[in-house]
Amino acid sequence: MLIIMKKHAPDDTLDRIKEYLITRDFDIHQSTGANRTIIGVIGDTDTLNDHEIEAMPGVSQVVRIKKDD
Amino acid sequence: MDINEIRTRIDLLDDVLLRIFNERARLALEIGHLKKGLSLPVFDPNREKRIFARMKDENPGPLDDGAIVRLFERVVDESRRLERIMSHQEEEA
Repeated sequence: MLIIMKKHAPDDTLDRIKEYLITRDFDIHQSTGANRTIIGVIGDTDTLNDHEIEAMPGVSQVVRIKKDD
Repeated sequence: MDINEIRTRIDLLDDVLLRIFNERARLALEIGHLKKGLSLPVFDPNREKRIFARMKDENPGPLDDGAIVRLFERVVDESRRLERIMSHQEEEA
């Protein structure tokens, strides 16, 4: 799963997303760009609610990675 | 220097990086043990920000600051992952 943050989302919104994921035992790969940050979420993301994450402050989009056949 | 000499130097530097990454990971695990004993959270956003800010301040180039931050984000992400695995192993033991 990829979580794409809004352009220039404040640091505290990013911290909240990271804390949300880390306390639920997910590993993350953060990549900070010039305008926005992308968080790669590693783990059993089936247990995560896309809508709940998308509603969090600073989040632009949640992208599910299609499972291999 | 020809291409082979440069690649030999890169290989030597990669060996040094490998040892340094693992030494850093060992120290991160020590911190993980201490944090667990003190019931402190694995995620410390202020500490992570200080690491990135310090590395940008110390960056002599030619890698730009964005590249330095992305590299250290990976280092920090993997340290956190290692702490999580250690924590689970200790709980299961």
